[in-house]
Amino acid sequence: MSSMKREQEPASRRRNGRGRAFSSPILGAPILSVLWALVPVAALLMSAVAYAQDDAAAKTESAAGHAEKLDLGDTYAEGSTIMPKAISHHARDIDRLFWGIFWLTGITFVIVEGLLVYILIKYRHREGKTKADHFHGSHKLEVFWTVGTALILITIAIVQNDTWSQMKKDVPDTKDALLIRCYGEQFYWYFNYPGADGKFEDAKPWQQNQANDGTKIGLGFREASNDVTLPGKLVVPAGVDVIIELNSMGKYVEADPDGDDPNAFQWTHPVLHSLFIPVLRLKQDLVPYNPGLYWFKVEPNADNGETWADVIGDYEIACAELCGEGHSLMRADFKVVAPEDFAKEVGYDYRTSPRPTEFPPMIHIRDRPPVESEDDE
Amino acid sequence: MTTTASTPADTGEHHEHHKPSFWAQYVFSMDHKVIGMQFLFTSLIMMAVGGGLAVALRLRLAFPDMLPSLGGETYNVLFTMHASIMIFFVIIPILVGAFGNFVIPLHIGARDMAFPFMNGLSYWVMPAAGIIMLLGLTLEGVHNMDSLNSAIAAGAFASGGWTSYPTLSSIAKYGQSLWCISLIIVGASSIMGAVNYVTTIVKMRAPGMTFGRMSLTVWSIFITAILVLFGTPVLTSALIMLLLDRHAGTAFFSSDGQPLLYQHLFWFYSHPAVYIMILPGMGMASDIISTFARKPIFGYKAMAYAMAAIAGLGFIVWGHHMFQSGMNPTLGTYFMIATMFIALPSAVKSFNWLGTLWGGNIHFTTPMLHALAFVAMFVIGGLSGIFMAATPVDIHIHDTYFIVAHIHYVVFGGTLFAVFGGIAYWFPKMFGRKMNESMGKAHFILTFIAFNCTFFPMHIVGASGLPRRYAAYVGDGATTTWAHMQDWQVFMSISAVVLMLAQAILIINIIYSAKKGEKAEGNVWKANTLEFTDTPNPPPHGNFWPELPVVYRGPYEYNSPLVEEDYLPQTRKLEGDKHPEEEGATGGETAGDGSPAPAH
Repeated sequence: MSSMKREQEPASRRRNGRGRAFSSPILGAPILSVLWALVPVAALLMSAVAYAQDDAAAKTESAAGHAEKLDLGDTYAEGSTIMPKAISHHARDIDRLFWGIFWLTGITFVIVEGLLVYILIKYRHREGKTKADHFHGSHKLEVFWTVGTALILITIAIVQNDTWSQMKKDVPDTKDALLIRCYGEQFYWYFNYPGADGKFEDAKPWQQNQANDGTKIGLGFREASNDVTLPGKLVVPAGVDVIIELNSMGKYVEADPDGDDPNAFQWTHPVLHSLFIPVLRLKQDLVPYNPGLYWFKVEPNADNGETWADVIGDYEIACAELCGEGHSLMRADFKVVAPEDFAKEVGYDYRTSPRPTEFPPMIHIRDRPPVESEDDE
Repeated sequence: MTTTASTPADTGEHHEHHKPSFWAQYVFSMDHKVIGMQFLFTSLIMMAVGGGLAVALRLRLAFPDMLPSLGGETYNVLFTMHASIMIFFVIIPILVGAFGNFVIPLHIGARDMAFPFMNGLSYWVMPAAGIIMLLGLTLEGVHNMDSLNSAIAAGAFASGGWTSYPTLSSIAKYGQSLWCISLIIVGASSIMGAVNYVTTIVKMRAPGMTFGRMSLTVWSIFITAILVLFGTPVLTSALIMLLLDRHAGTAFFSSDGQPLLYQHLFWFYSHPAVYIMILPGMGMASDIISTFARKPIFGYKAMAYAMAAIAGLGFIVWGHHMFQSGMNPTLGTYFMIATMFIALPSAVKSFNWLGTLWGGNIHFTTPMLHALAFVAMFVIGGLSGIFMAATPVDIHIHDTYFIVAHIHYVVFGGTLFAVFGGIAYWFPKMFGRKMNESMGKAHFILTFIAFNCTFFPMHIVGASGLPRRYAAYVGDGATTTWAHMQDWQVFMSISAVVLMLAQAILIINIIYSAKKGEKAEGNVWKANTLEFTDTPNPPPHGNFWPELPVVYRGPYEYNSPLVEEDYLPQTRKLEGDKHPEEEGATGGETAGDGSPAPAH
């Protein structure tokens, strides 16, 4: 459409009195149609460009002025992509599925939106065009695209369910795995190891005790216990099956902030949290009173020529379920070490110590003994 | 009620009624059109509130150092209120309340709703619910930023997210109770509306208006109303249990109870609610697309069946919101398969829209642009849903910005574009004037671009695992994994500000066009449905005078070979058409009896 012809349009429309309702004073159909496609495509291109940059560039070029705080650790691989590094077999399976679905939906996206733009341009209203086709549908086509889409969706369902089953159902035997208890409290993580005696202490989620750094937490460890409880840090050896028990824990808050008794604490009920380890693509809720299990094994991708050194490093744990005021600060370190370095970090060697063969049952809140002080509601 | 006062004062003059007082006519009216517009403008005002909250939280994410006071609990209040207001006070009322009320009687040829008083009541409890949700503003005497912060610290507003999962919501302060009470009341409003719609559609169709001749807008709201009737009582009972937990010492969801029970009950309502939030949009977009492509809708029956299928499947997929709750993995597999299947009718609908456009004579009016944007954006929202349906992938993207992107592509990119289209499409019926096309297109283009710039990058940051509901991703004590995404945060936030500003054009356009817009004459869009062919602009009280219209065919007969014009109204009697009573087919049982003029 030439611009001259465009200017003439309103006049001609007035003459024949048709199509006034559809006059298009600002932009014609073609421009709009092109615009249509441009925005999502531009967004895609921008993302591609942004992630072609490697970590170093991202670190130094941080325009928002957070460069000095930026410590990505080992989370993103060299020449990082959108997804964080994957350091377990399951994480790589999830990535493969993600990108598989990405391409499938991406192609569908291009076809459908492309077709839409094509139709909009081809069948746009033009001067003098007064008629359109008249048909009410096509039974054959309906069947075709219903069955076609169903087949694609069933294929996705079948393909991905393997991974789901492997992750959720092929859990290694507790006798053969390293058992760790994870406790989430508003807004801290604690990771509890059985210690050199190979026995977990009973978990009484209302009791007040101390983590290894002296923090007061709601875990019921006896003083004599040699359990190791790391605040805000999960240490796991590479290449070992790890089973984590997920527990949500009540919190002790000062009952009387302005009062005389600094030792008066009030117990609040546990809330939901979600253990999220991006590099493992691991996420599961900590449901109060209902301990959950999750297992993983950190290992390099041998097919890709990765070595153990590629997976050993410092990563991060986040909370992924809203848990209150400090939700966004509820983070922890995730440290993958070589088996021989485990003792340096945790204080005992899991290889030489006896290992617990199962998690002790959580003592339910309803079995809590009668309260001793008034502060402890 | 300044908003409804702008209605032209000539409503009601077309027949022999005495002229009612201003209050009876515009405020405590029982006319479905007035109630629909009350819903519409109340929702638009609430949309401004919800949008303001969204901009505030986006700015906090972009510049956490400059806005320290918006962190922590304040941030939680921001996103909780944003979602609660947008879902319960904007999207659902605007689709079901505003367009449901305004369009159903006009489209099926009824004089009014079946229960006009209940209809008015369903509107008037909604502002009450809104006041209760924000009652903390009054209770704590909020008048500036400092008192707002102390009110938030005192727990005057809900902060547990729009999902309000226990046990966080069990131990939250009193704002959570206000939130529960507010939603119980909104639920009552929805149920009253839904009873009305179902009854009206089943019983009050004009002669000849068979179910197979109803517009897809009416079909979609009919199906939505059924969803509301089945789903809302479940949410209400969950909220009552939560209130009892909080105040009566019960333990449904805490200690001796089961926190996951709430999630099941909540999503049993709220997953169908997602379809409540999109189905009427689908219906409206179908009508608009057919009208401006000047073509019959492609696969009318398939469209109606697809909506019914979505509604049916919508009740058996709620568990996909809970894949990470530690549910039995086999149950997860079941919910995954059900979820895959619910993608099917959505895909079928998208293909049918393309089929409708194919071979058309497409006019790019403002309503049409918005309806096309609905299709284009809904496709993106639908496709990104497949990532979540795949259980292993969902482990990684659950509770990340990928989900935020998905819901906004469906609810904003889908529903809100359909709503904008619907406003422009039925504006002549509301005010007797057309909306200004230039402003309409400027609003559309700005909104479309800013919307994509705001929400598309959320897919990217979401794929990297960026968790949602975080007050900041940089700064002291924050996670470091996503610090390099901060540039995206700034980009999205600036786009969100542009998106908000673009809505000013819509407001100006509505006010300007209602007063000074081009007078709408006759069948402005050359459409086939009854409101355009058989009523003046705007329709009088009671809609169709002196007699109810008689319907001879479906609503999408554009470019029919039977007539010279490119449209064939539902009520035009051609040679050979028999009156429905001769054929033995009637509409609703009470329709066509010259039912008395409804009360004011």
